[in-house]
Amino acid sequence: MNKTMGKLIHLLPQKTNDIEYTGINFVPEGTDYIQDHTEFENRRKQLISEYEIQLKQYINDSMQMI
Amino acid sequence: MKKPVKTVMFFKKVSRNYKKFGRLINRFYNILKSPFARTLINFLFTVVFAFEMQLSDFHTFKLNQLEFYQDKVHILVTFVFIVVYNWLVLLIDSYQKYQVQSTKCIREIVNRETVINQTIGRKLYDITSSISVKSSSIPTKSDFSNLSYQDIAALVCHNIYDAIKISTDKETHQVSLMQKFKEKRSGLEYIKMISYGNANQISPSVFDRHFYLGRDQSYFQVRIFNNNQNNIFILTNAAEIKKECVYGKNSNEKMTQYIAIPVFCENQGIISLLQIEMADDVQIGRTMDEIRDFVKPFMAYIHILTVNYYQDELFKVIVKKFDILKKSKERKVFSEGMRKYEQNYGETNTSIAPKD
Repeated sequence: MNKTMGKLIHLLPQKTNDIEYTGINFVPEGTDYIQDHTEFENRRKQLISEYEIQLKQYINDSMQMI
Repeated sequence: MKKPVKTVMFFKKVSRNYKKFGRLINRFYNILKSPFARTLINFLFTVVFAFEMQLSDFHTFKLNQLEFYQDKVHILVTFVFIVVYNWLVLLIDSYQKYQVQSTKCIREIVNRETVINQTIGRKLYDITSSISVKSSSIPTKSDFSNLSYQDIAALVCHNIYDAIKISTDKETHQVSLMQKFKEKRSGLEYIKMISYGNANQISPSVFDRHFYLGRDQSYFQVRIFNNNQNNIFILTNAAEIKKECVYGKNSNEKMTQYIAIPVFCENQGIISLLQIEMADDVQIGRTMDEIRDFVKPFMAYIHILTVNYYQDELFKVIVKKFDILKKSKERKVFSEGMRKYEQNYGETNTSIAPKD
């Protein structure tokens, strides 16, 4: 009986796994993001201009669909 | 978007609070809304007025005599009815105009939200394809840098800033996002602004400034993070803002309204705080209810942020795991190489060494 028990495969996470999971630092570190003012401003401008082009395209496309 | 007149808001509140009376108001609203009913009422008023004029006597007495007015009270009553009816019609028209505008606004938000989601989708696809180009290579941190929580926050802040700009026709407001972090060495938790949306395209002075959760408790934002409750926080006027000490006592002189919406994760509590700061006497609502109504559609963006935060965490974990895998692989290659070298070394050694 004990031998067969030993061969069971546990699909659910075990307690040890839980500890490992919480051990991952879920609160991020500030250095993960852009900290420099001008660098972030440039990145922001680039993202917004890309986004505005796509928004225009999307609105035009959805108008055509209707 | 212009807000409806106060009377409409009052009727709306009454109909919400008293169910039976509310139903009556609704029925009345539906009748007065229809053009057929309006035409009929106008026609009835004309007929009644015509009859009344016929019945009254305009010849016996003169205008300056009191008796002249004795048989004309009913005309006055009809006149009052006409005025009240027209006032109600104007109210209903203005409310309908408001409803049309708010539908337009919601459609715009849905469009913008869709495009944000498309952007995220496309970037995720780019990441996946760049990772899977070489099956043998192990992905690194730079492979995932194409999409971060900070980027999505920039888009969200920009969109909310734009929505307020369209509705108020002013550009003095600012939308920003505060995020919770932990210092690696000291383990101290702090918040800082990671993203913003404003008119002057200059990053605010508080961008990247650290507010420590333990030390800087006089700041309103820090207290929100410490209390950890998933509520919308609204400060409706400058006096409240000064009292609650938003960004400290000196820097908030211009601010007239402040709204903070937390991004809340089930297992972690508040992880970020979306802030809307109104300045120069521009308001997005007169009361708490009005502001809350205005802010409600922005919750769609908050959900985008929540999902993206989890995704960012997933990326970080994956990057860590890949890093471990890479190191262990390198070690394996190194130890295998060493083993081979040692074997060869032994062999060569034996070949060099004189035989017994």
